[in-house]
Amino acid sequence: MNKTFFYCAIWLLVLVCSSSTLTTLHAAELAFERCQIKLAAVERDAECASLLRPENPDQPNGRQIELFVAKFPSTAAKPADDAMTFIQGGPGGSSIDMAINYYPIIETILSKRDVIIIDQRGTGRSNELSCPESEIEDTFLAFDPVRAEAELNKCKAALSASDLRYYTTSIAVQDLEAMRIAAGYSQLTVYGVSYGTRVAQHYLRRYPETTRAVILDGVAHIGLNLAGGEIARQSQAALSGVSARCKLDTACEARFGDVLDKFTQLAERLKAQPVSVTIPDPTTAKPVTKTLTEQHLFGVIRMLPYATEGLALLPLLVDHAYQGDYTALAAQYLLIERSMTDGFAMGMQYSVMCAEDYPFVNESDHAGVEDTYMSDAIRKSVEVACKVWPQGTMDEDFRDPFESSVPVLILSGETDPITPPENGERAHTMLANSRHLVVPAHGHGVISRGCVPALARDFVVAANFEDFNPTCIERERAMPFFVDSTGPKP
Amino acid sequence: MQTHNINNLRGFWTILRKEVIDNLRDRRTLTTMAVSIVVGPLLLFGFLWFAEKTVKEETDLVNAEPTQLPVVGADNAPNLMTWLAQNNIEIVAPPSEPEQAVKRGELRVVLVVPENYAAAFTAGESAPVRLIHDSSISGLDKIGYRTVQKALLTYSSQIGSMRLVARGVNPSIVKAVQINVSDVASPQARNAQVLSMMPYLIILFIMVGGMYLAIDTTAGEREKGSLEPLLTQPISRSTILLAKLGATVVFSALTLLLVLIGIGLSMDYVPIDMISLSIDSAIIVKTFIACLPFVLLGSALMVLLASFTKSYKEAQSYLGMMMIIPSLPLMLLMMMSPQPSLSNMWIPSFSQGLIIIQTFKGEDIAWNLVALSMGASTLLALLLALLAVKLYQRERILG
Repeated sequence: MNKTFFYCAIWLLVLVCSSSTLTTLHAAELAFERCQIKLAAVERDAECASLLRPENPDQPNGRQIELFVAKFPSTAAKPADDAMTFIQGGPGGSSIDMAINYYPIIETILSKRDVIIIDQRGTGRSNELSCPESEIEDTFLAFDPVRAEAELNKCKAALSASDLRYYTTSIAVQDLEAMRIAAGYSQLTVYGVSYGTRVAQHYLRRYPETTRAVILDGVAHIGLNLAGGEIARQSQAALSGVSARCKLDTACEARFGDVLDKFTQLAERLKAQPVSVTIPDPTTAKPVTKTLTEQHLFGVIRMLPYATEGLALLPLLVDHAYQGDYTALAAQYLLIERSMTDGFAMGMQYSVMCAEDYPFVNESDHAGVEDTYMSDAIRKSVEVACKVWPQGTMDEDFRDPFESSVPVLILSGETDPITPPENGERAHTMLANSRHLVVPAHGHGVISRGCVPALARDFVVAANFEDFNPTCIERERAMPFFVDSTGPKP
Repeated sequence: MQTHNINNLRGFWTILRKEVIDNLRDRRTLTTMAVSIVVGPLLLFGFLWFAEKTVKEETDLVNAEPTQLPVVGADNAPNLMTWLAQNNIEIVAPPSEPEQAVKRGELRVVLVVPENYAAAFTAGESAPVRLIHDSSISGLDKIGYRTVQKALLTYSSQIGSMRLVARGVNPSIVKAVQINVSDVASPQARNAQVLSMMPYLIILFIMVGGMYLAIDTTAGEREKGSLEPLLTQPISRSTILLAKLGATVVFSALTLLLVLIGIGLSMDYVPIDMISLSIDSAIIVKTFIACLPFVLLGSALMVLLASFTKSYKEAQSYLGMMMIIPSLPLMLLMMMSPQPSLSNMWIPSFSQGLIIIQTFKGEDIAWNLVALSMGASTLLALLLALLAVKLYQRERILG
């Protein structure tokens, strides 16, 4: 009897043992170490590693650049052998910085699989191509091509250690694939937002076998030219949209009337006579003096509709400035300016734009720009930038549509002021196995809104649309318009 | 003397084998063992799975049914109502007596928006709302209350931040301190909830595994009247008793091993997000060996107790009550989550519980502490066995 009992026990133990050894991952090349990744005051536990990559992919033994990789290990006892990655927009934003902000979303993924994120070459912690502080104040006073060119040359000189031609999307997706292989994952689930959707789509095109699923949030569809009149046109459409929505809202319409009209008058006034204001600094409360031109107004008005909360404040901010109280407008300008200079690597943005967009701009891309508040300001500054900046190359098929059967979840914000739902629709038409969700009332990037995190989590777990039920997004509502500084109607 | 010893040894094995085989034929024993490998883990994980599923169904934003919220004075704050609806909260008509309705348990939570809400809100002051709930309600019924509270807090902080922006102030200045947390626990150790339940499950099954045999071979034999003929055999009474104890130990140990294997196997397949334990064969073997002294102790305790009783039924009720004894130290363990030390590792069941938790976590315990646990429990087991032997020497054992 005793013998039987022991044999039985051994047999059972082998089952336990074998089932646990079978899933052992093959050794990874990346040496991960426990670390804290930081964004201002926020810190997150992670595992960090650096991936060495040739700057010029055609010279594997040439100059190497270090790319920073952060991993959030899964909480599962036996995680899936694939991982999920997140790609930030810009171009020039740090994906790891975004991950620190998006941690609550990442956490929902970790119950099944690891999340691994790389700072795209030229951004964040991966040989960031940031320009030395320029005198932005001046460029906003009036666009001066001579001074702009000088600024750009200064930036180029500061970045002379790097060959600026090799910071394009086409090379970035090779880095992403190298990271996947070095970390030992069978596949990647790729989330991209804004410009990040361009990276995600090109990765899908290049590596369809190792792309498990894709989430595109605020889509730059294939072929979209960001160097043309797109930004000016979309920004104008967003402003007109806010004005129209305000007219439909009794409280807003009674309080502000025609927002677009007030904006136009205000812009004309500021253009004719810039206003010097002294306000308490929005963060330190120390007095700060600022000369506001119509360009500052445009900067704020362009950025506010990115989120429904900003949109809710837009009529109030315009109205206050229109009435002669510039405090909120100037403060908002300072906050936006600081987040832009801290958060985006302009050099990397030029490398991408001057290789992938600018050479393909034609006159029709500029159509209608004269009727927008920004007019041809972006066109002029891009032209100057790309004349100075070295032009990189891109994959031949980069701008061509492609086919794929990989599941793709496409997200658009209904009031997105830069990548509207039409963009998402175009991507949906191109990608056979895709679903396009338009989240009501929200702006640019909707992954953190309402039930979208849970939808994304379910989609990443299943990697198909079988039990996908996105009706919950219909609950989303716009933040009501602020009618005075205390808030909206109760 | 030599012959006598051999006889005793042979008698020991004969009785042990007989008891083991008899018991294997017994459905109760087999049922207990089947339960230990299947139902035990199933109960544990079934419970956790159910808890997780229910919480998910109640809180998951994708498919959850809306939380019903009766609101008194909804007209005083239409935009707040829109916000609540956006957060999957369905505004319904309030009862005539909200407090009574909540007190009687007809409603879980009622929101009251007073008349002065609107005036305070538009004045830029804190606008009051009142949540009526019953704090004696706990568990899943609390979810609705929490959902509403969270939605209100989010609304409050969001409007607050935007008020600052409207005045040209950076909203992040109100967050004076950013609290970052670093978790040093290993992934295995993060399963605190499951881990704290493991000692209970395992210790309980060690006892249950040997219980029927302990009863059957003493009180049972006495009740059937088969004890007397057995005692008249030319084998010493202590040998008979030790053989019976041996059989009890065998089944107790077998149950322990099966439970451990059952847990180990189910860990690989349970679809529960909150559990991420991996229990391999090394952990099972370590735990099994470390718990063996408790198997001895539990068996000795049960055999001793069963010897006092006259009938099967009586033994069953006494032994059932006795289960509380090893549970008490485990409750203490659950509340304190102490580190293994010389001052606590001599306590039977407590120390095994600690070993189980530490080993499942994948953390090592100093060998001397494990030795202390094993030694102390074995010593106590021997004492109890000796006591039982002494008891059998008396004539009164025949009842």
